[in-house]
Amino acid sequence: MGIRLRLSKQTLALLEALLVQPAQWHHGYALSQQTGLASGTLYPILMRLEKSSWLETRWEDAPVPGRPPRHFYRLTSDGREWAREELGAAQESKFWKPAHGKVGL
Amino acid sequence: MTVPQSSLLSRVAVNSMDLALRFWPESSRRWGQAVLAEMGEISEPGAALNWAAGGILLFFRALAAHFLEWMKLPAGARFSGAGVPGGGNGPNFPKHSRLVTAVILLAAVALLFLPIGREAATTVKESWRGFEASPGDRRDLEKIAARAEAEKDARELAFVALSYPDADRAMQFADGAVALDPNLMWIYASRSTSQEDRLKNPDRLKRLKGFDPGNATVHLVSASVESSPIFKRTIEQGRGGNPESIIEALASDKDWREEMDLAFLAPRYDGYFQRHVDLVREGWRKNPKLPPGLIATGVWTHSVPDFGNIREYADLRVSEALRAGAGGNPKEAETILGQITDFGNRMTAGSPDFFEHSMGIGVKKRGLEGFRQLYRANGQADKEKEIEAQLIEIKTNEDARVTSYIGWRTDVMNGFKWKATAVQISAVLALFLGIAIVFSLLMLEAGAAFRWKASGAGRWIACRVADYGPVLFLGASVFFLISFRPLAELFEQYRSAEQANAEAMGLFWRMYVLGDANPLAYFYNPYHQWLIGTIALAAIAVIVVARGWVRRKAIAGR
Repeated sequence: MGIRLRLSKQTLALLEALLVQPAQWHHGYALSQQTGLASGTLYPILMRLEKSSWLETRWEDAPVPGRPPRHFYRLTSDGREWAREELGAAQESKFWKPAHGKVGL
Repeated sequence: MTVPQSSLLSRVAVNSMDLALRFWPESSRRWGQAVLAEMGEISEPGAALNWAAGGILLFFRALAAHFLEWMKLPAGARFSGAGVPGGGNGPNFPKHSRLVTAVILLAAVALLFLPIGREAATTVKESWRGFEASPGDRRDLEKIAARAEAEKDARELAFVALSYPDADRAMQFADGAVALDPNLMWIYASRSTSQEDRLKNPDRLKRLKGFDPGNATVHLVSASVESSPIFKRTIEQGRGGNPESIIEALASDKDWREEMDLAFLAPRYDGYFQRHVDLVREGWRKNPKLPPGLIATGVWTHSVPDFGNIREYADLRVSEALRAGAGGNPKEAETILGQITDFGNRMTAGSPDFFEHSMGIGVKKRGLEGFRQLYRANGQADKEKEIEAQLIEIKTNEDARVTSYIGWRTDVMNGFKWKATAVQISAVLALFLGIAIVFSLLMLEAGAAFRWKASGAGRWIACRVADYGPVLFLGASVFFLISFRPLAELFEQYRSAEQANAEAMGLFWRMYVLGDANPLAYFYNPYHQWLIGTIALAAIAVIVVARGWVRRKAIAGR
């Protein structure tokens, strides 16, 4: 278990987006579009999640020629479990409302 | 690798991120690369710019975090492996982090930037240059004068005229002040200038005489302008040491004689000392940031009448009186001598200034001495005895006054000696520590940047200075402010006009002691500079020889 994060609505929105297809790798711009978070908000949250070991990252293996490799993100298995707990708790306390119905509990 | 973009906005966005990446701290650079890599997916230029703006924000956050991490390392340490203090052969680093060092140094600097700290630093700095006005002081006074002219503040302009170090420029301010308020005409007499300067502008003298004709001072100033070339000429002719030739030369100058007659017969004597001191005090109150040395200059610029003139005139009149007495006209003799003693009395009564007061006593004594000679020549023994008794009484009183003044001044100066020494020592200590700390930190940081030798005596010393220097610097600064506090209180009392003149003069004597306690003065002396240089060179030579000898022994021992 990592450090207990202060979960803001933005963090919860990102966790929800990462849980939509948890096994798949997501890239930053897609996450930004899904959550409506600007890059200046999105990346600090990603950095904190990674530091807490809830998030794993990797670089694109075969980037489009002429473009730099993209960075991909997905929740670790512990991260997924933790994210579901946090989202559930936030939903129960009515602090947060999921954008895609009840989070996959 | 850059992300190809077509529109101008997109290119600006990509180039900004590219630029940020060049300076992005290593520890989080990949996040910047991740932001940049996404930009190839954003087709809309506005969105690309928005995305890049977020990336720039991230860059500044990364810089801040990096800076904080850097501050947590000791001075001279880097994030690479070299940043970690090593073992016996490893590089030396201070024990404290940059953050601790910076916090202590900032606390010390903040103390010195408090009003009392700034006043203390300014005063001590002034004392190191003998309380002479600096170019900065002149600029400050010029600014005050410009403001006073703009606001038509005659008294403030007069304050500048009294405090400005250069007499010519000061007189220009005086002209401005008098033009705004003719009641300030007295500053022409009170602001000390050479007689030659006064001669340059006879109009000022004429206006001064018209301003206060009943005051002996204006006639004394005028007479000294007349007598100055006579004194000069007499000295050039090699007759300077002969008082009779000077009296003769002065007596033959009609204008001088006329002015001195008017001065001795004037109903009042006011040397304008009190007005002068009050105006300077008022000026300081309005401009409390002005250095005290400049204020002392303002007070010391008070002009006292030329006692040479007064003495020669009194002697001339005494000899005229004695001649009249010898010529069978004792009444006329008594009238003349009475005029001399009366003038002495007026001068004494009208002078809060110690020196002018003494001059008045001196004139009175000359008149009484004339009376004594007159009565002796006329065989009036009773009157002669009466005058002798008066002379004895004056001498006794004057001796007591002078003794009391000197005693008071000695007490003031001796009482302040240790306090002044404490102020100076703490200031010098703070200065040297400050220089040593800056030098050590620069050496350590530059060593890290340029990968200089990480060990050695120099580095060891720099580390210890970086460790203990800031605390000592803070201590020295606190001690400096505490030791300066009595002087700061006296300055404040002076500004708030709670001090009598004598006490105010005591303040300036204390400043004199402060200047005298300057330990750096030792180094101003060329002999001492030579001595220290010779000792330093000798010490270096001994160290070099000793080191060579030790190395040679070590090689021989192998």
